[in-house]
Amino acid sequence: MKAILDIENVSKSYRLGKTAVPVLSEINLSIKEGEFAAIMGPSGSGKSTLLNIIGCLDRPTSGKIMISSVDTSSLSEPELARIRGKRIGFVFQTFNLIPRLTALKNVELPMVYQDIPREVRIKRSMMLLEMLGLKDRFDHRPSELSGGERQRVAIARALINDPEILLADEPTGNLDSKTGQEIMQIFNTLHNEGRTILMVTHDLGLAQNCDRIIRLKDGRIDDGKHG
Amino acid sequence: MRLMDAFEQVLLSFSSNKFKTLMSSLGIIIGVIAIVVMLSVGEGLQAGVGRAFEGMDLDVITVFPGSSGFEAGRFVYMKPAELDDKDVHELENTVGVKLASPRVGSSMSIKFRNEERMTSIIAVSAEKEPKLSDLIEKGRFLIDSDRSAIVIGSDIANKMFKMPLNPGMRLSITNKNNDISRDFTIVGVFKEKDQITAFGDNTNMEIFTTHQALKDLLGAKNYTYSQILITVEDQNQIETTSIKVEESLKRLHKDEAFTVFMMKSILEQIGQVLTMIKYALGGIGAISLIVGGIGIVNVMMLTVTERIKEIGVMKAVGATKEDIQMLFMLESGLLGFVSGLIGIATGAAISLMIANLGNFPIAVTWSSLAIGLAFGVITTTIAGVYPANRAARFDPVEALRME
Ligand SMILES: Nc1ncnc2c1ncn2[C@@H]1O[C@H](COP(=O)(O)OP(=O)(O)OP(=O)(O)O)[C@@H](O)[C@H]1O
Ligand SMILES: [Mg+2]
Repeated sequence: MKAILDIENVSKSYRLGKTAVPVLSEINLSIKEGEFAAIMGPSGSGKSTLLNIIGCLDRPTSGKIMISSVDTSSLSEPELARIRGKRIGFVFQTFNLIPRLTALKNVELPMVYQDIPREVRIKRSMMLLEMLGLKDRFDHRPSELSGGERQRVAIARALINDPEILLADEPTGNLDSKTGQEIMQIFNTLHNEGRTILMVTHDLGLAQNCDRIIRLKDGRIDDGKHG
Repeated sequence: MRLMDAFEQVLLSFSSNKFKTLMSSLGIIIGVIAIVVMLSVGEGLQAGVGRAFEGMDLDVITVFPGSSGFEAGRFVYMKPAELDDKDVHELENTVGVKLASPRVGSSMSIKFRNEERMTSIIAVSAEKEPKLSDLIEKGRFLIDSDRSAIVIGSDIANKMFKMPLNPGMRLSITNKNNDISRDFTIVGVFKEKDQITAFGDNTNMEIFTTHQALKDLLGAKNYTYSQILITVEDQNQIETTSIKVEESLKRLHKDEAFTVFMMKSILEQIGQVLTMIKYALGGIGAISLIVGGIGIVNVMMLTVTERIKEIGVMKAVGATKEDIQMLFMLESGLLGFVSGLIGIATGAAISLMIANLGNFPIAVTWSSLAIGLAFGVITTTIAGVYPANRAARFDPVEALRME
């Protein structure tokens, strides 16, 4: 299988006054097409930072991120926006739905920014909502949905533009364990359908479902060789 | 992002926040109302005064004895000039003068079949009054040799006495100062003329006769003219001619007071003042709009701050800087458009209300409404630029971290 994501020597540090605080150091990582990988590690180890950099929400201080052989670290702002919209699907711990918009409109949103005609948008959004068991909830606002339902809407939104890789940052972190299991079931199904998924989680039980567990510690990949 | 989709999203955020949206645009609404009302008042004043002057003769210079009494700011008394045929002759020989027609006005009592009324009677030189002659509806105009003929205005003919007066009827006129009484025959009736009484003569309410006839009634001791109407040859040269007229009269009346008066210059001055008033009023509206615009900047900044997280989400799912910018610009522009519509509707209603209540000349014109609306939209759009740029510049990770 070819690699969909290649991370080469990625470092990230934040400036605090005069000192640079390193958050990620020399990360090297490769994710193959169709792989379902979990990122684990203690709080503050840089998991979210890494996922945000992969998702083009943030830029690395140094290093290269190759998504299907395109180096995103050298792209301009509008090009990054396009990659965020088309090639990456992001699922957040706090769902991050737009409160004013109905479930359907939330799901449509990434297509709106790609200038896709309304009929196509609605058709595909409804199909995804149906697949995720939310067909009869399409005109509900997020405030009228349960946590699990909200996360399912967010997953539909992440899938709408058929992205090459799905990034999920603690997608079950705000859900009870039963609902978390249900969401995990969805990810498993997507994985079985051939999707590439990279998921941050604190739950070892969930991580053990995955093909691979990547452990992060103090901004480095912990492969057992260090400390 | 397509404009239609942007519109839809903006409308959604509008309707989810009706109250705040309305409150935030109150400043703009008030500004637009102010502009519309003030322009309407201005237009109305101009139109009203314009109408008042419509019937005015712009090619006429009027000369009369006495002055306003003020010269260079201090009061000076000068004996009023006595205008007579020498002056008429002198004026007729002045360059640019076509006609110099002397008039004498006097107040007399007229009696028709036991009904007695006071009215003003004006003596004219018949052959020098072509405009009056043109105004005849029934009968004929005066000729200079008439000694007991009168021509009457339409109100005198139709409203003054129980019975309407017609050519051929006789009535008597008495000078109450000396009890001289004469019988007169009505030879003509003027047609009704649209006139504002405040400026110039109102022919509808006057009786005209010859100088000879009035001399008889006055006892003829010292018959001087109360005004001389000068018709100029060229209306465009009226200013020059009026200076010549003044010079001619100065020669005959060295230390005596007389006034040379032009309807045209009064009209021009009033026109200038009205234009100034109109723009001053519009300016007050513009200032309230600027204040309203600052209000919009504040509210949009607040909206941006409230939606930082949303902006982060939008960027995370593919929105570009331009998309975010467009959304916020559209939101403030639309806010301006809606406020502008409310403003011009309210402004027009208020203007019409003032017009009805105060019998005040107000004209709500399409151009005032368009100016009001345009100012509303332009102000809010400009006010929206800074907040929209702020919104577009947010870093997605930082925006998403907001709670
Ligand atoms: N903008 C920032 N400025 C300074 N430091 C930052 C910034 N963003 C993150 N950090 C720091 O980077 C480190 C890694 O943060 P990150 O959110 O990636 O951790 P995490 O592994 O996702 O933790 P958690 O499991 O709690 O979510 C933390 O120490 C955090 O304080
Ligand atoms: Mg995290």
